[in-house]
Amino acid sequence: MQSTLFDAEFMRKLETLRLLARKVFRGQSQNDRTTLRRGMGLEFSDYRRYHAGDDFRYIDWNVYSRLDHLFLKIFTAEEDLTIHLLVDTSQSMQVGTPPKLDYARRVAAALGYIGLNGLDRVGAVSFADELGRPMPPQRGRQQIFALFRYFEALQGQGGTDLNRVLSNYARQSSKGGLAIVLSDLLDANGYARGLDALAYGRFDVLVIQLVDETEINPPFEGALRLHDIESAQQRRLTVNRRMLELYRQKVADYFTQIETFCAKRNIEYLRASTTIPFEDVILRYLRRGFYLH
Amino acid sequence: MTWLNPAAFAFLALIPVVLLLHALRHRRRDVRVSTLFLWESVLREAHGSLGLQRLVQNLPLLLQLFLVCVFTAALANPVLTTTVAENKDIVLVLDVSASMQTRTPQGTRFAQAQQRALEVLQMLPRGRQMALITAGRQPQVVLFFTADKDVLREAIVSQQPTDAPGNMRDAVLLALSFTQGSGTHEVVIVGDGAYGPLFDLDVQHSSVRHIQVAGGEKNIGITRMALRKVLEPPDTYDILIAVKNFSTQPVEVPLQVTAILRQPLLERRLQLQPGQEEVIVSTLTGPLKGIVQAELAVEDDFPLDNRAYGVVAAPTQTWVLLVGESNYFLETLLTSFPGLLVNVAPQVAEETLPRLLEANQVIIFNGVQPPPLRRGNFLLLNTTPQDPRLPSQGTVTRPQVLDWQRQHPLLQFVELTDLHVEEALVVQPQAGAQSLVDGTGTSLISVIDEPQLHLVTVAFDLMRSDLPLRVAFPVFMNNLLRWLKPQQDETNAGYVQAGMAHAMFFDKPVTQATVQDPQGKQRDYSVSGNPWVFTDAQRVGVYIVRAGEAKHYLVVNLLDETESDINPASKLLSFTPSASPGTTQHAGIVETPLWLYLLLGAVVVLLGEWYLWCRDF
Repeated sequence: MQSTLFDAEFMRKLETLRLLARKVFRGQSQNDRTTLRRGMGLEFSDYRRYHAGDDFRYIDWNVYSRLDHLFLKIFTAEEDLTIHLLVDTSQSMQVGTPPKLDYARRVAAALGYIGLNGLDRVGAVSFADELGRPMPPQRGRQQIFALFRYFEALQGQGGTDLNRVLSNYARQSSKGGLAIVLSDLLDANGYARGLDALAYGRFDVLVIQLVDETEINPPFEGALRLHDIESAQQRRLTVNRRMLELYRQKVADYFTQIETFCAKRNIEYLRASTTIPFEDVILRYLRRGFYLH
Repeated sequence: MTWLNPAAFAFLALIPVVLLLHALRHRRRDVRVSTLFLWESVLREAHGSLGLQRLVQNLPLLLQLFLVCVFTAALANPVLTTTVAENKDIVLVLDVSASMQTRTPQGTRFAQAQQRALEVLQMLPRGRQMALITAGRQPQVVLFFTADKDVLREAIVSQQPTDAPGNMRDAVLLALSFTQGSGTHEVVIVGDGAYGPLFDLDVQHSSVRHIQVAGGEKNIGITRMALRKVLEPPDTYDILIAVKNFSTQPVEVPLQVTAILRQPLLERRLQLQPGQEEVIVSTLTGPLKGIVQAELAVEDDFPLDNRAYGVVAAPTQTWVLLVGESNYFLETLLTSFPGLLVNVAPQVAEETLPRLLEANQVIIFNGVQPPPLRRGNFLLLNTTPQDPRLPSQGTVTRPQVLDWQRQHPLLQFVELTDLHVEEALVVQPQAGAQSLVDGTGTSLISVIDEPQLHLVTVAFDLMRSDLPLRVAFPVFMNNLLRWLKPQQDETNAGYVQAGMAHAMFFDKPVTQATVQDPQGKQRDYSVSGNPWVFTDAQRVGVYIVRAGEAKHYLVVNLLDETESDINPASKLLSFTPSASPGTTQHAGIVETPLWLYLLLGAVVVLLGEWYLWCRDF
């Protein structure tokens, strides 16, 4: 299995990994993952009163003998996990060496590969200021090529509207699951409402913020005309050491704000710089954060 | 403010050029960033210091624009016009007396006075004139009325304080004579007030303003010094030195008298109360020759009077030839003069006269007809020369003294009232001769004064008059000997007060003299006449005059108690007459050029620009 996104050796390493969702989700097919759906699993969960039409096989006759009432034994069904890969393809993702978008699609492809390899359902969707064409959640290793092709076809364009696209996706998605958002989160309008929509919906959210080193430590100084790569807005200013220092402080504050926000909403958050090899992000950082096992 | 050259504002067209160059040099670099909202928050936070930051960033441009403006303004030649209440011509009297050398914390008094005088000049309205008079020993008109401020400024700046006592009264009187009581003139006195009172001057019709410079109050000075040789015993000198404390505090002053290059001759330690004067009279013994210096070892504000000089000339001998009849009174008197040696001869032939003139400085003919006299120093008693300027014819009996020339050096302090003369020759001085004592029908004493010939004729026999019995006789003879050979006066010769003229006598005719002043500078003078009047003794110290083989010391002292008293007078002259319709002046306009200040500002800005450039480089 060859891909332009990563090499075979790396893919073999990925095969040993599984994505870990902290919530319990309802899957479509039985898998070795617990879901909220009660039923045919092996793990006892609860009792409930018998209603007409229930399967007699799950009546607990021992309880009936003691209480003279019919109770059904309820088991937690072990079902598959649906993984939603949301990849930011706004123009700001084209910044960086390598471009953040390249980095994002590699990480997304790796996570999708892990999911499909673990018999989870994996869906993907790109977004900028609008949701892109989605790839519906699919199950099975044979979907890996389709997933890779989907990611390879992504093009950076448009602005960013995290609140709108994430809210829309939360509404439109019929299934919950693990939503992995890969974005630089550089949206002047914010990200809170979008992530809230995911988190308060049926999703366990993992945010991977991708940043380039030039966005943390700008390599320029002097009289400049800054162009916003998405909005084409310009700002004339003269950057000196003091302003650079102030900018770094602002960036750090922004990151802290995101971390605080995610921590309060039990959203997993990982910030990855494009200078870090993406293999390390997958194999080391995500595992260290218990997103993989 | 007035711009005298407004065409220079065309240089403001350089401003767009500077802006263009700056814009080309500082083109902004385009940078693409992921988002601007972080930068905008940075800008919002930095907004408070953004103004200053922009100012600093654009400082070179601002300095260049300012430079262009300043240069343009300087070229436009702005003048600051201010109006003054009164508009009068000014007679500026600048004190250049010795006391103006008094040291103050702000420099000398004279430096202050110059500054104040320049301020007066600066306030002189345009079109108004100023005259400058210096008040030294003699008032001097340095500059008559002129409106040229450059010339006036140059005249003020070029003045120096003298070592001579000042005569402010005469200077003010001279200035008042310029104003002629006119209300359109003002006399401005710039001085230290350390001169005699002036308030008794009649200034009722003149406007007088006194600008006093102050500072410096401690002074102890030598106010008098005299040195004379005592006849007996030889090599003995009396010295008198007066030292006065002009300060308000008691002082202890060491006084030392030394001969040049010799051991101290006299040392004293004086305790002086404020205002106290102590006179030291002492005797110096030993062979002295040359300069004697008295010095006060004290640091005060007026050091000029801390030194005084005396001179001891080498003792000289004067030979006098007495020809003719013996005269007891005359011989006795002549031999009593120190350093005077008398020869006696009954007759003198014409051919022997030149040799006798070489051996004798003065020849006296007593009652004998002299040969023709063409050069030399002669006294003729009861006889007349063979000279058409002093013709003699007959005698007159009991002539009465009608009048005499009291100011002539021969007759100073000579009292001839009721002089009794039994008989006298009738002498009628002609052109070229001068009658000093006029008697009835004759000239009793007459004189011929020429460069080569000094001849005094007494037209009567001393033994037939009561002149030898009067006090006037030794006085007259002393005057006569000093006049005929004045350089024999060894104790007074060479003393002069700063600023005064001094007559020098030379044994042999000279045409040029070289004078070395106290600072060691030498200057050549052409000499005309004997004596030669030296008028450049302006500085305290020792002048050395060389003429041929002769060497003459001239010591110059201040020795003026009034000048040494550096404290200002209690009341200074200042008067402003009440304005009358005829004298009311229109307000004047004073113009102060500003281009120099602007130029200096431009230089400072240029240096700032250069500093920024170096720092950025």
